[in-house]
Amino acid sequence: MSRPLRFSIECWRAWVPPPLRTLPARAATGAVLEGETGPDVSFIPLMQRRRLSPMARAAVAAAWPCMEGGRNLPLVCCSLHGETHHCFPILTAIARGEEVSPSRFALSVHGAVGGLLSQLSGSRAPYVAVAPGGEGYASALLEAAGLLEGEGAFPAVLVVWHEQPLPAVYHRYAPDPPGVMALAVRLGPWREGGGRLSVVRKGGGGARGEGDPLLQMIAGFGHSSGQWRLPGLAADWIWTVENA
Amino acid sequence: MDPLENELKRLMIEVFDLEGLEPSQIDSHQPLFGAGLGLDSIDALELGLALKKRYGITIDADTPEVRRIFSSIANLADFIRHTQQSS
Repeated sequence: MSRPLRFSIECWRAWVPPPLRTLPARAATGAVLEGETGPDVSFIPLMQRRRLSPMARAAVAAAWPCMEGGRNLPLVCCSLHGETHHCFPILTAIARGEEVSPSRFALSVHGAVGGLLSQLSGSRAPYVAVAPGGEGYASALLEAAGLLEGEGAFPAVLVVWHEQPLPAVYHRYAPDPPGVMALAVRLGPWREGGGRLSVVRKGGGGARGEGDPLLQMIAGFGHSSGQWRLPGLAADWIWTVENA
Repeated sequence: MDPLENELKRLMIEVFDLEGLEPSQIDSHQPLFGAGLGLDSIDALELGLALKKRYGITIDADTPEVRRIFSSIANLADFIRHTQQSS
């Protein structure tokens, strides 16, 4: 077993579509956002809001309430698949010999959500986009730990995990997320008391997870305290939250 | 309202995802970029692509006239009419 990564949980918010919401939805440091038709992003000016995909809207809506002190808050945005609903039409256009939409291209990059949040908050702090592959969502916490430790460490970091259903063509290659989802968690250095998160690598890895991993994480935070296991490549990741 | 200008407004609302905006709310003479409608450089590229698809018109980015052509709906409509008449 490796050394655990440990953090304090300062704030969290999540978006899941109403049919996927499980109670309880509110805990000590955070809550699942309300809304029947989609996350409320009316605080974003129209000209910035207009191009956002449903996933980007969910990510921004979840992140925004946790961006206190945002001008110096580094971001880690993590998604297994990213903006596939921009990428796939681009690939289709190229295959057909058609020209690629410039705005689709600009929004297709994995760092699009982080860039937008950085712009909206006027942040000069770094942001990182992580495509974690088979290692899974704990990869984002390795980045977060790096930002919170050592010389030039930041006092807090915002981690945002976000996914959306895949275009049908990918369904035979990867599990399809059951809906548009986002989880934003502002993490600080570990301290006793309050909300705490720790992850540790353990076991053989490579096992198939039970259910959607992001939905599992959101449910874990919603229950305030609990433990769950997400498979990685060479080991599993054991997540533990207390007083979230 | 000029039919071509109206068509261009509908095209822009669709291409630029200007949700909730009606053609009647866009002034044909207001600046499209910056302080006016608020379009940006990526929109300029997207507009170039949309004009090529819809009207078969290619605007060379190095043309000194580009700024004037793209400055308003009215100027853009004039340019499209002029190009279609001379082709």
